[in-house]
Amino acid sequence: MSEQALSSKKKSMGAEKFHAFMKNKLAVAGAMLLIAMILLVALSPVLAPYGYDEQNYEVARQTPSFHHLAGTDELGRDIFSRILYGGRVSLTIGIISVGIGLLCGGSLGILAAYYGGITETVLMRIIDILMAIPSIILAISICAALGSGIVNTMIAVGISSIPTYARVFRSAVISEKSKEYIEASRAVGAGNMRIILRHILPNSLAPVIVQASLGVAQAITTAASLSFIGLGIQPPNPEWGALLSGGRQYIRDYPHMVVYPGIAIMLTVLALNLIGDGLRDALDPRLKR
Amino acid sequence: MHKYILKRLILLIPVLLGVSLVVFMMLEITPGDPARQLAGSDASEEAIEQLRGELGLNDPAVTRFVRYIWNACHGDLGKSYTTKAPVINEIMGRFPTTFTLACLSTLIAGGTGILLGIISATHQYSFLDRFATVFALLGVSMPVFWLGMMLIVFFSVKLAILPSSGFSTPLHWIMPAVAVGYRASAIITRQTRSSMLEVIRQDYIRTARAKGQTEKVVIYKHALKNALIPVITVLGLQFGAGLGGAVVTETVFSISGLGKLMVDSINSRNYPMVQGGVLVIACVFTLVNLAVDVLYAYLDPRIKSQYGGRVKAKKLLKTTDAVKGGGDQR
Amino acid sequence: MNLLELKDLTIHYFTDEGVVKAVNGLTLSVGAGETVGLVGETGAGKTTTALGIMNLVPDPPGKIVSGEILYQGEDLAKKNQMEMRDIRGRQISMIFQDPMTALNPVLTVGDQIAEVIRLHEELSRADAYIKAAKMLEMVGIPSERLGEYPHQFSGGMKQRVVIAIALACSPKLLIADEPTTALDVTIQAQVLKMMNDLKQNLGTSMILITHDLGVVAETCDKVAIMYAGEIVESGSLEDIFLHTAHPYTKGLFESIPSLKKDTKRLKPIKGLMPDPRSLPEGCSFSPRCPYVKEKCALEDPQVTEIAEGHFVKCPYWRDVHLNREEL
Repeated sequence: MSEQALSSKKKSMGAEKFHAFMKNKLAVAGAMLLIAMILLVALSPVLAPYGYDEQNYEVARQTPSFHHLAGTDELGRDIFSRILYGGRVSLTIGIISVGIGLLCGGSLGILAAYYGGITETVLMRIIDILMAIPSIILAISICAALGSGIVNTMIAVGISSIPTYARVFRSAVISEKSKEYIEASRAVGAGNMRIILRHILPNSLAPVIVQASLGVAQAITTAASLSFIGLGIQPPNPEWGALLSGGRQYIRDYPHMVVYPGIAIMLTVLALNLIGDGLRDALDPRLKR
Repeated sequence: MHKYILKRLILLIPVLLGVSLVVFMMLEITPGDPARQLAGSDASEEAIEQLRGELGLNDPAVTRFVRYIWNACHGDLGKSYTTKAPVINEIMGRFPTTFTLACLSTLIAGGTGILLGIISATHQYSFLDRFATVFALLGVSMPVFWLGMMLIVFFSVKLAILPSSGFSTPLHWIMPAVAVGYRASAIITRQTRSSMLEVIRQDYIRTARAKGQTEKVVIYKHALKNALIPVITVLGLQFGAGLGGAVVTETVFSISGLGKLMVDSINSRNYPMVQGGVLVIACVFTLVNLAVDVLYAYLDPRIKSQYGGRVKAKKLLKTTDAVKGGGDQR
Repeated sequence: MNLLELKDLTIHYFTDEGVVKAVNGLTLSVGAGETVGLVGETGAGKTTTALGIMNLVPDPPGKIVSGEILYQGEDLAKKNQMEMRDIRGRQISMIFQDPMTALNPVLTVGDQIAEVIRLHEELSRADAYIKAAKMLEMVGIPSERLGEYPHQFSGGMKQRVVIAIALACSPKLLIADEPTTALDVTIQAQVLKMMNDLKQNLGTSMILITHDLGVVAETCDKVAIMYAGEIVESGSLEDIFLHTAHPYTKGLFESIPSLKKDTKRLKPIKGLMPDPRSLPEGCSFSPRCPYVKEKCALEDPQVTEIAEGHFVKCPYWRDVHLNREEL
């Protein structure tokens, strides 16, 4: 019964946060933009007028027209279709690499914060070392070592974000663990694992959720940068950064080849940023103004 | 204060050792045989085997790591696979360019970002505030390399007023510095705005106003000094981002800096060069962060007093002596 | 002529959630050298009144809607910010509630005291610091600590520094907004005594904002009781303490324990302070008033002078009076 009371309380708190989020017009606009993006990208096989590697030399390097909304590239491939298909790759990389970062960084941060002492010192020194390398350089190094490809890009981007998540989780857990209800559950004999998973984790999620939504944006940009410099996703795979990389040599005569893929990245990242800001305002009333 | 800096410098050693280990491991897991790379494709098996012996590649990994560190301490980061020249020479030749770019963009970011952030916070919900918000949102959403390309399309191709590649004259600096600086500026704007809004609501701001202080001094002396403390940290991180982002920026603008060198080296599998580049960038980034922390301690007396910084107090003691002396005479 | 006269002062905050009527037609006067206690619960509009006198109500959302703030005959509400700056710190000073946050953490206390001196007095930097050191000694802190930062001081010491800042330019009026609420009881007494002594030496008038009637009894000449943005009763210390005439004032007295009388049970005022966004019709105390009559909820009562200098905003004050004398 107490369980029930707890869950109903949680629901009402969630509803309240949801309400606060919905009142933020910019955040709602961001959420709508992101949903539209996801729908477009998910339905790309249906929506895309052409295949992503469908070549047609007769229409190569055409500027945008009714037939080719974003023009065509040097092989006559429809850029709009490639952006739609490329979005699948970019968004997948963004989400999965954040997943990797959350999982690894999260466990490191939680363990460090919960156990403290020597565990914390050792783990945080390792994080410090990773922090000493700017994250894009870290991602590049890993990608250069592992080789290119979707999976390796995800791993590289994911690992490069570990320090951020480790720190966010750590500070969230540290502030949560000093609260009295943790003392109380320890007093009734709950084990470490149970305390971490049942009590600390759910209550320290707010900053993590915010960081994760901003992190997806960051990951998409980092992955695009990797592809842009020739690591990451290789042609003919249509990831957004790879599209920009391919179009770069034609920038003087056919700028449309780089304009539209970039707009796709920008809108997605903008949407995620708006959502992230909205979540922060809704979840952390301390920062609300 | 000196003690604090010294302590921090000593603490750098394990971090840099760790970074070297990461960098070293990177080469270890990379497929390919360095000796074969260095000898060239037409070398005989015996020649490669001999080279391997000379380079000590047959030694266990630990020995090679210790040797790598030992050499690195002496400024030897290995030899380039392609030119056979010492890596450090090439890196040091390219580094000033990258460093200049990072400094310029940080300067732009700090100048515009802090100013916009202050205006935005002191005129909350005004037109300027909304402008700054949109400015910042666009800045954090645009990938630097795409913005760079858009600048090239507009200023080099359409208007033909700025050169699209190279870094030889200040005219060449403008677009790369703006491309990197804009994103950083956006981040600084957001940080300054929120920390300024936080500070302006504090009681001590009201105290300053109650003294009859002008609004200008209230904002720029009382509020800004407090609000800047977190901004400085972000500025340091943005410097690092500029340094790291050089790999893409220099590619976009064909600048022959460290970033471009690293990208080219990755593409030609010239790993000692990549390794050296990462190590140098990490060193500089770490030193910049240390400088930020020192500045932080300088700005925030709560931190400074933990390290025994009482310079100002000493200077003021003279004044109090004057009070006591003056009191006696009267 | 009184040093300060507030006439019908009305200050509202215009927020998204409605108009917060913080101060509603407040009238109050402070004579030269007098200490006036402004007493009321949290949210009664005391701090807003103080900020209103200083013309420091945060705008937006706050605005002085109507009324006059006559300081030495001049209306402060009509002055612009530039003119007000000459008055703040020089003529009228303010001590804030929480000393922990009232000092700028990144400036030395010497800087912060010298700042107000240099703003209002033609002194060189060095002379300003010398005077700052004297002020510090005056509030009982060794002048050697001039170069220290606020975090190096305890709460009570910080409040002394705040007082030194407020009194540095010998203002004619000092507004003390709950100056001792955030301090330990033992420190409270020290700080109060020191403020009282300094005030007497400098001939400063004071508005002491508090919710503590004990503090009022010790320090004030006159008392004004504030409820929902209005003064419901004002008069001399004796008028208020011995001839209590307003039901709210009476409620305040009955909700504090007394050592002299053998009180078995405290009588708290029932109900809560009304939401300043939607004040009740008529007398704003009527929903909580034990003496409430039908008429109370219909029309706002007039202020009557029941004895010389003793004003009450309740037509049924006689009932309260009677009742109190019975006790």
